[in-house]
Amino acid sequence: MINILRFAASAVLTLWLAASLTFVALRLLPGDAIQAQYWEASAELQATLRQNLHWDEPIGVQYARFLLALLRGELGVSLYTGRPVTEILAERFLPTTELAFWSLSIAVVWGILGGIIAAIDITVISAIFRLIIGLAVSVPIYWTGTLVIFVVAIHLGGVRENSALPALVLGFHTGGVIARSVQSNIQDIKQADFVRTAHAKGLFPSYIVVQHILRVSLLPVVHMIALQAGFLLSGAVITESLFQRAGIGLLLLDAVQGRDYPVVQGVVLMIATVFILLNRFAELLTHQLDPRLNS
Amino acid sequence: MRFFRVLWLLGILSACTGNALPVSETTPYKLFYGLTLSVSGIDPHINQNAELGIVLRQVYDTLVYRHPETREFVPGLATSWTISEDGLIYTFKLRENVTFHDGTLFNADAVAANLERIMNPETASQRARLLLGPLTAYQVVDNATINLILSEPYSPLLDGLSQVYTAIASPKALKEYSLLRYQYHQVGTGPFKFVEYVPEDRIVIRRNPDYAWQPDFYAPLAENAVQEIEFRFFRDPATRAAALESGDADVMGELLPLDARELANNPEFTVVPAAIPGQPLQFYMNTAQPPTNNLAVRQALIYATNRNAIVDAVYQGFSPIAWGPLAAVTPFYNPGVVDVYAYNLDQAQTLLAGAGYEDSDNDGILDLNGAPLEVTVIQPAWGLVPEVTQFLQDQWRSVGIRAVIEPVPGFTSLLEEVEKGEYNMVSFDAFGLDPVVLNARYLSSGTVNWTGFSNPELDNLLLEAARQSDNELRRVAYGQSQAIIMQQALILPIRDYVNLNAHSNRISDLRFDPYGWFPLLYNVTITPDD
Repeated sequence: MINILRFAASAVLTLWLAASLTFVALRLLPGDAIQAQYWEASAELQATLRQNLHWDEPIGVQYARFLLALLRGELGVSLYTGRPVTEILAERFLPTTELAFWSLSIAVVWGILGGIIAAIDITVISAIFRLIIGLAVSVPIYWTGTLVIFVVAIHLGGVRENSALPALVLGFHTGGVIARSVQSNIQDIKQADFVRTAHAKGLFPSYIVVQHILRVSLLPVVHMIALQAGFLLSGAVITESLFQRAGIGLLLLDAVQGRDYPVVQGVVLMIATVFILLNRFAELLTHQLDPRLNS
Repeated sequence: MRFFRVLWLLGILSACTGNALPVSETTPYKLFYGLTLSVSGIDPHINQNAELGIVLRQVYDTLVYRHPETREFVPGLATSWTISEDGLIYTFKLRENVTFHDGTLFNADAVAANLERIMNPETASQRARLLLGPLTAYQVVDNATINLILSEPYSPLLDGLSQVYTAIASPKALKEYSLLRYQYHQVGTGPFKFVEYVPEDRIVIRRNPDYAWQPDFYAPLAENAVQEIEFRFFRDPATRAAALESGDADVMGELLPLDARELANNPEFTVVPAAIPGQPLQFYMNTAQPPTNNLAVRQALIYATNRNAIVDAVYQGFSPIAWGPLAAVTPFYNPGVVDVYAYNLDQAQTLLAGAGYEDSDNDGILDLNGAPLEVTVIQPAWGLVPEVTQFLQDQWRSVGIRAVIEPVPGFTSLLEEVEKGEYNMVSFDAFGLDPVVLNARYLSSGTVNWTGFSNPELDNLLLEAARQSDNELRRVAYGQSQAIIMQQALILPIRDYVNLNAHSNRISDLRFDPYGWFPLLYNVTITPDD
């Protein structure tokens, strides 16, 4: 019970911080959505439209108004389409969830397998995997994405219809981080006393790897995987804009460029919520898998 | 046990990703039309994008039309019109026995309801209101007659009333739906009925079988005329040709020039370039900021620009070179601007030397009083402008001018940079058949006067040209305006816009209205796939 209360309190605090920081950051950016849409219109019309949105009021009043609306659960309407932000978010949520789900699936499989292969020293193959993991971690997503689009567009055509590509690209990079962590965990544990003991007992090496090393070294990876949500979401912004997929990422990019305050706020709050929930989920999951943590 | 819990959690996640496609009724005469921008809204009275016009030109009629070839005003929902002696009252005789798609009868009250909606500040119209100029009131004379009353003469009014942004919508539907919801339930009198709009995804329209009041320029309907049209969005220019080739779209606009060249050589496709009247691709020169406050520098910049090379390389030769502030296909275009600033490096150098510039520190860049000759260019990301500025940078370097490129990702950031006022050049342009597009941009008090130029003679000419109803007098006034703009070297024109459309050869009879962006799909025929 106390745990749940503590979680709720920290969640609310985090959301408030995210909302407030976004509020300030957006107002610091020059230009606004009225100017972008009514740039040819008279200054009077622009002023009237801003007034309708209460932008002529002191910033503190606007902030209070914004927080009150949030408390009532109101995210407002887009300054461009006039559609409720909740409606837009609902519409854009699925494509991104889908992308995130497949990317994460790909990332988990390739990250764990790649990490293991890179760690257990099968000469050349491990070296190659270490190189690929290095690439996945250090090369920016837009580079790989552009390369994939370029190659696929030339040889296959129809990049837009192919929904596997963005998931592959994003999964490759997300998996890199997982693989790196699997690899270093295994390498650490290989030096551990109980592994030496196992070797000394004359156990078969592959049995030691599976039963002793992997069991222990994969535990922290579970938490690590859940934490990749943040990476996935920021990666989705880039991937979705590269592949022109109408998800949350592209929505955020467009909204920031167009200074669509309510939409940016909505996306940020949504991402923050997902992030908080996934963190909590990861915590619960690690506790499930590792009973030692419960004591 | 633990394993199953994990599985269960994953199951929830994957259940969220399920996706069901809606099933729509289909006809073999269905056309897929590629749109190029995902629009923020498609209410013709409220929004300003060109994409909405591509769709809604088929859904609505306007009071008048402009003939696609002669560009003359021809009857639409108005069968005739007269203009009072003082140019302040336009009287329209309206067509009778016209019904909206919802069965409402079209009459003078319907026109009044639409004017009311456009003029109402609550509507916050982005374009339609501007097209009506100084319209202040209207007067329903009888069921089939309406007067439009202006506060001052404004001859571009008819042009405004011929555009889809002033389309006449069903007053019943306008009343039924809120300002924001109407765009999803549009009701017009046009050849196609509005079926649905799914933002970011599609817009569907279907043939109106009752349509019998079409303008004269349409041909009789063929047996295999298109029955249903689905518009889809293809934001990324690089994917457009691929969408045509894979059959995802039958028609596509704004193709990349290289793709258009390839499609032109493909027997399965036809490329239909549509010339766009209005302003060419151009760079405004800021006369309030050194060094472009100096006429000689502005002129030298134009002389030092090899437009042939740019049009050949960037636009694959698809575009005519632009010489003045209006594209050659615009009414009242002044051909006197042609060749005035033909590429001439000697002339550019002479002008700069005459202005006192020399390369005193031998770094290849000219300077004056220790300051290098540097121009800041705001470069938007669209329309292949980045490729163009690459060329400009190289070409100008050869006469000792350094170009500093200021890239902006979107329109909002472009406006911000312009607002700061620290630029020398900025690329932007507006389209339209009436040269009145020049007024807001070159009048001293113009709302978007980005050259900062102010000249009473030019002001008088532009104002006179908008007031004057006599076409010959308008031609003279706009002709002189264009001459002054180029004498003062207020812009660097690059190329006239050409919208590169292509369509699969399973369709034919695609043509465009004289604005160039908007197709006339009434007569388009389609050979169904087997």
